[in-house]
Order: sequence, then C-alpha cells, then structure tokens
Amino acid sequence: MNLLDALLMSRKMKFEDGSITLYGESVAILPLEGFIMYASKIASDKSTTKILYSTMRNSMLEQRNKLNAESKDNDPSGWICDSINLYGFGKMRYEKPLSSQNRTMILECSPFVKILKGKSSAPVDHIVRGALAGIASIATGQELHALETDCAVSGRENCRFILDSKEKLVNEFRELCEMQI
Amino acid sequence: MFSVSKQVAIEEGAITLNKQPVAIFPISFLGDYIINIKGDLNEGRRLYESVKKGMIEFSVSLGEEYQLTSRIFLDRWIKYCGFAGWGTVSYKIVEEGNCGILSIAELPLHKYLRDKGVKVPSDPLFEGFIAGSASGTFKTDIDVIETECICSGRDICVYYWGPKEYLKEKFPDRYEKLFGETQ
Ligand SMILES: [Zn+2]
Repeated sequence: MNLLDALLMSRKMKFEDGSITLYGESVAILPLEGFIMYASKIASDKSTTKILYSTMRNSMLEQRNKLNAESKDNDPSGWICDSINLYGFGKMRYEKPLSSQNRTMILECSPFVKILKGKSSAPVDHIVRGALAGIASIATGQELHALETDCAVSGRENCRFILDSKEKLVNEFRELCEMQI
Repeated sequence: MFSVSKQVAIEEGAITLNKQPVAIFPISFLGDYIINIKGDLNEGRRLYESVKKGMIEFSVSLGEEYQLTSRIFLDRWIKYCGFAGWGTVSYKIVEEGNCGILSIAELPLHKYLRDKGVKVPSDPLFEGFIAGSASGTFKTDIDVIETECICSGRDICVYYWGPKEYLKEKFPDRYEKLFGETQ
C-alpha cells in the first residue's frame, strides 16, 4: 500500500466538504500552472526565491510534532521521500541511503521542469526544495537546508539537491547559497 | 453524473486533475507566503498575474469542459473548489456575460490568515485563482476584487469579478491599489 492509500485508510488524510486535512493540518489542491508561471518570473530574483523556499521549509517545520510522530514509525530516509512524493511536486529519491556522507537527493519528473524546460537558466524547484529541507530536518532531528545544485530545467535529466547544515553548505557552495537560502 | 473525484489521478510524485498537474499545498505555506509578501504591492501583482495566467491555461487545457457553456463550466469550477479544499462556494451572475459575485463560506486559507491577525482582504493568490478561472470560463479578460473577507469580521468572503472597466467604476479605490498605474 502506498503512503497516500495508507493515509486515507487511517483517516490521516480527510476530504470533507470544502476542506481537506492531512495529519490534522489544513491543505488544499491547486493547479500547478500558476505557480510554475510564478517560478519562471522570480527565477532571477534571489530575495523572492528565498522567501518562497523558507516559507515552505517553515511550514513543514511548524508541523514538527505531528510529522515527528509519523517519521518515528518509519525508516527515516524512506519516509522523507514518501512524504515529499505525496504533495505532487515530482518524485524524490535519495542517491544512496541518506547519511552524513550521502546527502544527495534526486528529483524526477518535476512538473515545473516539464513546463519550463529550456525556458529558465536558474533552478525552479524552490517549493519542493523547501519541503525537502523541512521534512528532512524533522526526520533526522537536525537543522538542514537544501540547495538545488542542478535543475533539469537547463537540460539535465533530473534535478539534484544537496541537504546539509547551512554552515556546511555556505562553505562549499557560497554562490548558490546566496541565490537560494 | 459529473464527479470530480473520478477526474483525479494520483501517482508517486504526481497528482493530476483531468490530466493537468495539481499539487497539495499546506494552507500554512500559502497563508504565510501571502503574509510574507504583503507589504510589497509589486510582488502581490506578480503573484496575481502569474496565477491568473496559469488558471487561464488550466481552463483551456480542460479541453472538453472548456467547450461547455460558461454556466455549466462555472458550476464545475464550484465543484472543483469544494473538492479541492477551497471552501463552500456560490455565485451570482450580475450581468449576463462577464460580471458576477462569488461568495465563499469557510475559506480555509482566509481562516488561517484571520487567525494570524490579518485584518483586511489582501490575498492576491486567491484573487488570481478566481480571475484566471473566470477568464477561462467566459473566454475574455476578467479581473477580481475581494470586497468582503472573514479576515475583517464578515461571515463570508465576497469577490466581484468583471472586466477592468467594471471594477474600476464600482470600486475605484481598491482598483487603483490593485491594478492602477500609480502605487
Ligand atoms: Zn477572505
């Protein structure tokens, strides 16, 4: 059984008239085109990009207690991907099981990339990047951030993210950090 | 009978509604983003215009439904909204054609904004969402102004939709703030 079916079965995701809840938090379904257009418009605007990313990261972190309880029942690295994949921003997998040595995540089939491929030179997956940073922080108990080091929008097959503490990311990827976190 | 849930397909990492990509958004993310850009009118406009344009394309890509009469298409939008977690929606056509009023009870996004202390209607995201859906439905350029909001103590959120000239005449101050040349 996939995570979504399990959530529906256990009533952790509920559809009621006019509202949807996931782990008791209010969520809504929105067509992605508008956000995809918006991502292309803000691609070179680092201040807005950072606000978009940090708002999503914080939104996940605010649910720390509820999500923490969920992640404890599962293998943390698998749970990170399953949780992200629930939202519909593409299919996340870890390159190798996530550990301090292996901190690279791969995103396949980003809907943002599907529409913006060839139309942006800067990465466009800031919302899923924020979700990844928040969810991975909860699952590992560390304060993690995520950088999109390669985005498939500029020609590669998949998008690539590096998860680490802000300090380490700034040391290693100073320029990217200035654009993204 | 038309059923929204039958139009939804969910796979790992991808959700589609009538084959178009949709996603699940935490209301706290949408609400906090609106609050975070609230002081920046230009950013609000950019969000509004992007979402509007996206919703027009979404309407067109609904293909078969897009061919329906605007009344039936509008009724489907209302069903989509209820299913997708956007509150209980009803509408009134003001002038046959392009002007109308949309009322939303219990809009979860605005309940969130209200609980966070937002006092005046100031949500370019949902205005853009309605403007794009209405433009797609009536196949003409339509804009939207929220005139009442649960944030400011009302029972429901009320949106007027219509061509720019109609909104400008009816709500000159709000129009100038949202769409005017000067800021
Ligand atoms: Zn409102």
